Amino acid sequence: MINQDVFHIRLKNIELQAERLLDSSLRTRAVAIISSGCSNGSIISLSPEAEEEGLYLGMKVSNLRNISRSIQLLPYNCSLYNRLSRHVYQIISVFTPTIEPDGINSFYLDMKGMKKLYGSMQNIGMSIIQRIHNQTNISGIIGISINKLVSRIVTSVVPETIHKVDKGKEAKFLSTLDPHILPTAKENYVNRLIQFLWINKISHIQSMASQPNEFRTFFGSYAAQLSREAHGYDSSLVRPPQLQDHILEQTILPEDTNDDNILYAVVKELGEQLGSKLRIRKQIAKKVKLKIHYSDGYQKSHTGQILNIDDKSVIKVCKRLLEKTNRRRNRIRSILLDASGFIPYANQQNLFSIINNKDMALSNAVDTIRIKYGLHSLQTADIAQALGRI
Amino acid sequence: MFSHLNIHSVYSSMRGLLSLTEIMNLSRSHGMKTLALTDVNGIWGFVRFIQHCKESGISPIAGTNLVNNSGEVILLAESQHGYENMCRAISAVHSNTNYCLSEILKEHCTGLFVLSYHEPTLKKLNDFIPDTHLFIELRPGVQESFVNNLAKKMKLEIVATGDVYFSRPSDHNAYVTLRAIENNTTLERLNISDCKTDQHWFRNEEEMIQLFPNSLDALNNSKYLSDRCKTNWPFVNTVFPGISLKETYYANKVLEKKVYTGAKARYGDIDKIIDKRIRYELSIIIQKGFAPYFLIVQDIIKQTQSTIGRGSAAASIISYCLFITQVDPIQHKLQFERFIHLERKDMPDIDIDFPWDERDNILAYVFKKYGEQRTAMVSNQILLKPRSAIREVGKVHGLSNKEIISITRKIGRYRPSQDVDHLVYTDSRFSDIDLDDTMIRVLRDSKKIVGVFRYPSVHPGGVVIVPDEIRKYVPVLMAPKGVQIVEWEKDQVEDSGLLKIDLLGNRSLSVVRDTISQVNLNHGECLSNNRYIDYHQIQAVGDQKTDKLMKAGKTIGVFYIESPATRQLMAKAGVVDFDHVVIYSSIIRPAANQFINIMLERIHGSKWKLVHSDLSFLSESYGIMVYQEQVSMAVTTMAGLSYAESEALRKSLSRNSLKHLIPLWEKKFLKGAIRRGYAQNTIEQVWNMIKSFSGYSFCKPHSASYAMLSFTCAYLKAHFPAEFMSSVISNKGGFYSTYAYMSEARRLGIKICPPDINMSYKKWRGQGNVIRMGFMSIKNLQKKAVESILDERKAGEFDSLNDFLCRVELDLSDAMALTNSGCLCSLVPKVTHTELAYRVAGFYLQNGNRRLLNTSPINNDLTIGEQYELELETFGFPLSCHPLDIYRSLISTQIKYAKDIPTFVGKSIYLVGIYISRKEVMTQASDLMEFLSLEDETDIYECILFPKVFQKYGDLLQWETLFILRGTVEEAFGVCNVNIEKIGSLPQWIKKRYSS
Repeated sequence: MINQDVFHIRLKNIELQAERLLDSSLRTRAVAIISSGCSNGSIISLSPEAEEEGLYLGMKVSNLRNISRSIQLLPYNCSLYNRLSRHVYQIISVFTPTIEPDGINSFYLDMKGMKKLYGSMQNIGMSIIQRIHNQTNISGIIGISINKLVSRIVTSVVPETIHKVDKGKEAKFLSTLDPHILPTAKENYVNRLIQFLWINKISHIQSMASQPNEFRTFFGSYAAQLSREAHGYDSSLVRPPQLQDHILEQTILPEDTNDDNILYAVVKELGEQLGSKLRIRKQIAKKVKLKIHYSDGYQKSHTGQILNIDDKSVIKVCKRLLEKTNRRRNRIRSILLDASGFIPYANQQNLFSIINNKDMALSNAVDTIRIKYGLHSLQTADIAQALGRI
Repeated sequence: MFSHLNIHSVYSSMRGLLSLTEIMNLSRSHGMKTLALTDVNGIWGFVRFIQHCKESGISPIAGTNLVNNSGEVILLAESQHGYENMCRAISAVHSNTNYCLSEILKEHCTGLFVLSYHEPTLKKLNDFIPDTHLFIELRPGVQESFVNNLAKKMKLEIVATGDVYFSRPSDHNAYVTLRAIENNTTLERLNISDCKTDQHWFRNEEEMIQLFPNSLDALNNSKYLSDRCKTNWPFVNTVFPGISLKETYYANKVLEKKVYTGAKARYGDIDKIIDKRIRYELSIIIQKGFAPYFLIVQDIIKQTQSTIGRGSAAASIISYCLFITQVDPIQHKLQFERFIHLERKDMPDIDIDFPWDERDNILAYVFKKYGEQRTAMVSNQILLKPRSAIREVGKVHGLSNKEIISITRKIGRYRPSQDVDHLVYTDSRFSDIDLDDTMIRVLRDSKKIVGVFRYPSVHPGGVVIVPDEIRKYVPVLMAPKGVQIVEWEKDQVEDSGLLKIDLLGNRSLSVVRDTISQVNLNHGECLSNNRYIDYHQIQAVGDQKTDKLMKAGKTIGVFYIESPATRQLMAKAGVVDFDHVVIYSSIIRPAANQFINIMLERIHGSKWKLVHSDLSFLSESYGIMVYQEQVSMAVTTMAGLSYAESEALRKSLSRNSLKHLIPLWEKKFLKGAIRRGYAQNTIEQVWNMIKSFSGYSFCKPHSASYAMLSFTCAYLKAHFPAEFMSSVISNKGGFYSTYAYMSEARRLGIKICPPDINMSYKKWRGQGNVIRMGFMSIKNLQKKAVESILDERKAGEFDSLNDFLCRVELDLSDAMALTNSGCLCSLVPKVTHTELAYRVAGFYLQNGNRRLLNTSPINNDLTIGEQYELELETFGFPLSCHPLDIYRSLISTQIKYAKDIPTFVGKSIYLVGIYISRKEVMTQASDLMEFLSLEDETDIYECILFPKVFQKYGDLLQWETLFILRGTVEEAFGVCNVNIEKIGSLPQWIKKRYSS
C-alpha cells in the first residue's frame, strides 16, 4: 500500500459563494442556483436563508415557486465558477506541486514530505484555508488522511474546517457512516443489495467482509473492492491535471432547443475546440464520445474516433456523431465531447493529397490567431449566425 | 359551375383541419349546393356529414381518397351499390396498405366514379373501368398542360378538384405541424415534399377559375359529375340480424316461449297484470320485428351469471323475464314506452354490463358465434383535445414530458379550447410556468389543431351484428388489440341504423361475484335459509342493516353511490328506500347541483308545489326534473312536440356533437309553450330544469337498474364487510385508491393482515373481521412467481423457510419482494427482518447446491420509520401505521381529530389529513372550486375550497398528499363539511417549524 498524506479541500457551496462575491446584495437574501429556468430544472446550490424557507437541494423549480415566491433564483453560471476554481487552484499550488482537481469545488493535494516544511498537517491545512479565504473570501474545509478515498469522505461528512483521520484509524472512522458514501455502493447491484439487507452502516459491511466466502456470495465481483473501501483502503495516486487522459468539451445551451441548425453550430464549435487541443498535444483520439443531455434528464451518447486532427476532419466526425446520437424530438440542454485513448499523431508528409495538407495548414493558422486574440476572435459565419452572435 | 368533389375534413387523420361546421359555413357562403367529403382512407365522419348537410341544405356525396403505397385515387359513390363497394375497398386498404389500388378496385368498382392524376394508376384502371366512370383529376399542384396531354392520350375527361385540407393559406403551418406529429418528427426534420403545399385551401368558384384558367371544362365537369352521384342518404332502416320472414316468425315464437318460462322463474304465478304487460310488450316487439334482437342478447347474457342491463331496456318486462335486466318494471313503475315506442324510428339499444374480467370471453363468444363477416366492434374516434393537442405540438417543438405536463395537468378536461392560452396567462395556478417563446408557440399552434381525428381505438363494449356482410355497411379495420372495428363511433353507428349491443365491463359485478363466492366459501353451510347466496336471490331492498349503512353514507366501495357527493346526499336526506336511491343516482350530475338542495329541503318537509299542474309526472321526484323521460314528457305536454321531436331534443342535450342545436330547440319549446298559454315564469323554470340535463343524464330504468346493483353491493357490505371490502380492493379501479378502501375497512373494525406465504392468495381475501392481503398487491412480484407459489402450495403448506426456498424456484427479485412484504415472517417467527433478508438473499445468490447461510452479522429490528418506508416501497401504501402517526407527536394538540368535527360546528379549527379524493368543479360564474376528501387517524372528512381559496392553494393539491389546514365547520342537514380557509403541506410545515 502506498502511503501518502492526502488533503481533500472542499469549497462549500462554491456556486453560491461566487455569486455573493459578485453581488453583495445577495449576502442576506434567500438565493437558489438552479440548473435551468425550465420547470424541470432543479436546485444546485442554495443559501441557508433559502433552506429556512423549506427549500432543499435537488428540488424541482416548479415546486420551488409554490413554496417561496420571494426567493432569488440565479442561473448556473458555469464560466464564473470555472474561473473561480482555476483561481483557487493557483492559490493552493504554492503548497504542493501535486494537485488533482476533483470537479470545480474540490481538490486533492499530495502533501507527502511537506510536514517537515510547514510543521503539523493541521497547520498546513489552516494555512491553505486562510490563504484561500484571504484571496477570494471563499471558505472551505479540509479532510486529511493517508488516501484520497478517506480524505474525500471526511470533507463530505465532517463539518469541521480541518479534520484528520490518523493512519490506521480509517476503518473505525468509516464504521458509523452510511455505506452509500462508498463509491462501489453506487453500483446498481450493490446498492440494491445494501438496501435489501438493511445495511445502514459501513460497520455492517466490515463485519460481513470478515466472512470472505459469504461476502463474495453476496457481492460477487464487487466484494473485494467493497471490502477495501469499507476498511478505508485506496491506492490511487493524486494525479496532476496535465496527465489526465481525457479532453472534455461541453456546452450548456443558452436555451433548451431541438433546432438542428443551432445544434450543428454548437457541435462545430466544440469540434474546433477539441481539434485545437489535439493539435497542441499532437495526438489523435482513438475514442471520442458525444453525449447529449436532453431537457427531460435523458442522456444519450455515441462513440467514434478522430484520426485526422485538422478542423474539417474533427468537425465531420463530431457532426456524424450528433446525427447518430440525436434521434429524439426533445429539446437538448447540453452537449459534451469526451476524447480519450490518445496516441501520437503521425505527421507524415502526404505526397499525394494536397487537400489534407491545406486543411491542416488552415487549422494551424486559425490556431495561431486564436491563441493570440482569443477563442472567439475568429469564427465561421454559420456558427455566429446560429448562436445569435451576429 | 363548380362543385367541390375532393374535400378533406378533420376526419382525415392528422391531415385535414376543416371541421364539418366550417365546411358547411364555407360552402353556404360560396353558394355551393353539392359537396363530396373525401377523407383519406375512410368515411370516418360520413354520418355526421350527412346530418350537417341536411341542416345546411346541401346535398352530400359519399367519397373517399384512397392513398397507399401503390398510388392515390378519389372514389365517389354513384349508387347504394357503389357506396357498398367503396366500403369494401376502404376495408381492403385498411387490411393491407401494400395492396395495389387497381387490384382492389378491380373487384369493387361498380357504382363508383374514380378520379386520379397518377398516370400509371390511370393506365391500370383504364383496363377495367369504363371511361364514363374514370376521370383525370386536375388538382392544385398538378399542371394543366400535363393533365390535358394525359387526357388526350388516354381519351378521358378531366375533372377539377380543390383537394382541400384547410380553409385558408395561413393554416398551412398548422397542417405542417399535424404532419410532423403524425411522422413523429420535428418541423426541421419533416420531409416537406411529402406534405401538401399551401395551395390546398377552400376556394370558391372564382378562385378555382383563377387557379385553372385554361380548364373551364374540367371545372364544369365537377358539377356534372356531382349531379350523377347519389345524394339521398336516409339511414332510417334498422339493420336487423335476421332477414327472412321465416327467421323472424321463428324468432317470435321462441321469444314468447322463453319470456313465459322466465316469467315463471321471476314471479312464480303469472297474474293478470303481469300477463297483460307481457302481452303488450310482446305485441310491440313482434310488430317492430325486434324479436331476433332480444334472442341474441339473451343468448349472450347466458354466458355468465352476474350481469346487469343498463339503459332504458330495464323498463321492459321482457328483458326482466329473459334475465337481461334485474329490476321488476311493474314493481318500480317503469314505463315501457321509454324503451320502445310505436313512433320511435331508431333501434332501441340494450346495454349489458358484465364482470370486467369476463367481458373479453363474452366478446370472443360473440365473434365466434356470429363470425367476423357479420360482427365488428364499435370504434372510439380519438380526437385531439386541448390537452392532447398541447402535448403533441409540445413534442414537435421538443418540450419534455414534464414541461408539457406542467401545463396540461392544470387544464381541466372540460375546458373549451379557446380558453387555454387565456387561462395560462391569467390563472394564478400557471404562474410557475415559464412562458418562453417555444411555449407560447406551442399554445398558439395547438389551438388550431384541436378537434382533428388522431386515431381509432376500440369502444369498451359496443358490438355491431349485421345479417350478411358488415363491409357493405361501413368500412372495417383491425384495431391494434386484434379485434375488428367499424370506422364509426357509437353515435354514428346508432344514427346509421346498425344494430349495436353494448357489452360493457363492470367492476362492481366482479365485486359482487367475488364477495358471494367468498361468503359461500366461508359461511355456505351456516346461512339459515339458503345454503349458498345466489346473485338473483339477494333481497337487499328493505334490509335493515343495508338501510342503516346507506343512511349513514358509509357506502365507500358500493357501486354508483360511493362518491363523496352521493354519500353526503344520502346522509343529508336520511331516506334511502329504493325509489329515493334511484332519484339520488339520477340527480348527481354536473348541471343539476342547484336542484339538489331544493330537493333536500323538500325531503325534509318544506312545502312545495308543482311548477304547473300539467306536470304531475314530476310528483315522484319532488317536483324536480330528474329523469330523461321527464324532459320528453315536459316538452310534449307544454310545447306539443311529437315523441320523435322530444327524443331529438333529449339527444341534443346529451351529445356534444349536437350541442349546436340546443338554441333551436329552446326557441321551439318557448314558442310552443307560449302558444299553449303557459306563463313566461313557468316556461323559464321548466327550461332551466331541462338545461340541467346537458352533458350526461339518465333515464329512470337505467337508474333503477343501477340502484338495484347499489343495493346488492350495500347489502353485501353491511352483512359481509370483510369479504366485500377485500373483493373491492382485489378488483381495483373504484372511485378511491386501495389505501382509502383499506382505511374504510379499518373503520368497519376489520384488521388488515399483511400477505402470508401460506395463507394469501393472488387476490385479497376476507373472513369475519380480518382481511388478508393478496399477492397481487406486492410490487415487483411477477405473476409467474405467484402462480408457482400457489401451485407448489397445493402439495402442502410450507413448514419452514428452508422448505419454501427449496420447493419454489424464484428469481432473486421475487424473493426480495416476498421478503420485504413480510410474507415469509410466519415461517421464521422469531427472526428479525434483516436476518431474514440475509438468509433469503444468501440462499438465492449461491451457485450450485444452495443452503441456508449461517446467522447474519447484521441483526437489527426495523424502526417504525423504516418499517413505514419499507411498506411504502413494497405496497405503495403504509400498512402497519397511519401516515399521520409519524407527524402527530410533532404537531400541536390544538389540531383536532376528524371524529370530533361535528362538535365544532360554526367554529374555525385546525386539522391534518391525507388525500383521499378530489373533484374540481366550475361554479355558475365559471370560477373553479374543489371538493376534497381527507382522512386522519380517526375518520374521513369532506372539505370545500371555494374559488378564492382554490385559486390560492389549488396548485398544492397537484403535488402534495399530506395537509395541514384551517377551516370552518359548516353543517347542513346534519352533515358536516370543512370550509377551508388556509391549507398547506404538512411535511413542509413541520420542517419549517422545527428548522426555525
